[in-house]
Amino acid sequence: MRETVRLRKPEKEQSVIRQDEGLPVGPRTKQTFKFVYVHYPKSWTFDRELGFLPAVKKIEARPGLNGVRQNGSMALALSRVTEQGGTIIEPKDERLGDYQDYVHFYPLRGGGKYYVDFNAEAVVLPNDEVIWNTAEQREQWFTFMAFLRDSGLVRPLIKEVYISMIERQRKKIHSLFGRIDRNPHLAKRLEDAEADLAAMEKHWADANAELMKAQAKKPAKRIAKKAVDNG
Amino acid sequence: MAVTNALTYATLETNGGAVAEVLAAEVLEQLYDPTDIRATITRIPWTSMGSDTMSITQDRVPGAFTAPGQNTTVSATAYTTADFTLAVAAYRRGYAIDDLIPIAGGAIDIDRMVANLMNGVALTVTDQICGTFGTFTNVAGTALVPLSVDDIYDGMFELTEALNTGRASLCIHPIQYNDFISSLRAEVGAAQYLPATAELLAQRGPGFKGSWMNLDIYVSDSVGTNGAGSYQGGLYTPGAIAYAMPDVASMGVHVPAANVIMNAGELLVELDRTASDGVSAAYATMFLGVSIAENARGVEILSTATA
Repeated sequence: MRETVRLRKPEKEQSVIRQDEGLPVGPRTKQTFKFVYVHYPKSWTFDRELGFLPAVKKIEARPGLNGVRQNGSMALALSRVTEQGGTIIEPKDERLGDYQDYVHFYPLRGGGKYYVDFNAEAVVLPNDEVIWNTAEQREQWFTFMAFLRDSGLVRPLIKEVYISMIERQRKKIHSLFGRIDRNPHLAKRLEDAEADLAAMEKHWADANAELMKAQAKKPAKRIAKKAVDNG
Repeated sequence: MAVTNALTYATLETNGGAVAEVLAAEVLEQLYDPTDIRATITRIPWTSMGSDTMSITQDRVPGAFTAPGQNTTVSATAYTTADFTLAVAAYRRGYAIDDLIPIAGGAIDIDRMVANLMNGVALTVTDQICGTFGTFTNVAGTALVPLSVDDIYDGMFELTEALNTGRASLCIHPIQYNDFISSLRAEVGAAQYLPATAELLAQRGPGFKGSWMNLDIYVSDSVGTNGAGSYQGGLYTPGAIAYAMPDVASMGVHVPAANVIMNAGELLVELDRTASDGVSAAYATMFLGVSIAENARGVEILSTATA
């Protein structure tokens, strides 16, 4: 015979609270990929305070792009960089110090990762619009490039590249001079270009003066070289 | 005499005789960037020959003859070719729809989802093409500085120095384009800018903005940024970038014919019906490989990403 069953008190159904953690994915949000920084010998830029800086480029692990395989293998893409004389800055290189593992990411709402440079900083507004703080990003980036230059992770700027940069800057100034009578608004750019040229020459001279001093401290090497020359 | 007790709309709605909202018959598009710049790069036919990677040979540059002088044997010159590789990878996207939606007469159905997936092909290719710009070793423009007419000239000079001839394509971010137009507007005596007309748009496709100094200017939000917060546009001549899109028909028997909603050569859309969940899904698959074919034919156009 079937008995009457009295059930225990029902369980509480916890209300689900929406948690807005991570970067929102809008309809126009693009997928991002891991990347590796590389540097080519002719890619240099100039900053008046920090001097000549290596202009670092990114090679993305985007499948199907420049030889990247479906599994994300970048072997072909990076061998291409080496063929073109580029230097690969491995994210795991211990010489990077605090910059080691420079590929960072924001978790995406609903899962996934949004890969960014180590210096990226996102602000999410109440309407889920994302604003990137580019002002602070640029300072950190320039400091990073100066670090790469000073730590020897990239090949140093060679004289021929420096000369071509100087020549390009002179041509820029000449071009601005040629147009300034009809375009008075170019005066500021001309002023900046001239200041850049003077600073470029000063930074190069200062860097080489230090190099000359450093070489002068090693007389033994000079004597040895002379002996070889005589021989 | 005033009419009393007229049935008002508010009352009817309260009493269930009218509904708060009905669906319009039309579904409109939201704003997006449909730029398709495939026509500016080189398509390489894909051959399925046992690898996901194809090597494309570039013939040796012809050389002028040398004058050997009298009674001198001419040694053969090494025939040095170059090459680049295209590795293809799968790209997919899917949408799923619940059975209740067609029963309720919702505005979206699976046909609309399939049409939406088709529009994604051009976006995927454009993303990939724009991804190559930052890998050109030559750069014009300056990080964190608005794009100016001078920067574009610098890029053109780089291309000319590298022996490029003919018409070039410039693909930049909308913010770069705005900066460029602002700079152009401020210049007196600059070469004439020709905005895109309806005829030119029809020829060159969406994203085409106009021509300037023998450059075709395209604008795309697929243009990426570097670590300094600067956009990496591209200026290139034909032959700089190449792509391959294998025919999805090669998947053959992997896909039951009854499931295929669309087989458009480069794109396959298949239906995935899960009866137990009451859900139908459409999945699109395409295969794509894009590479820089010849570095000397392109220049990265660098400028600030700040509007």
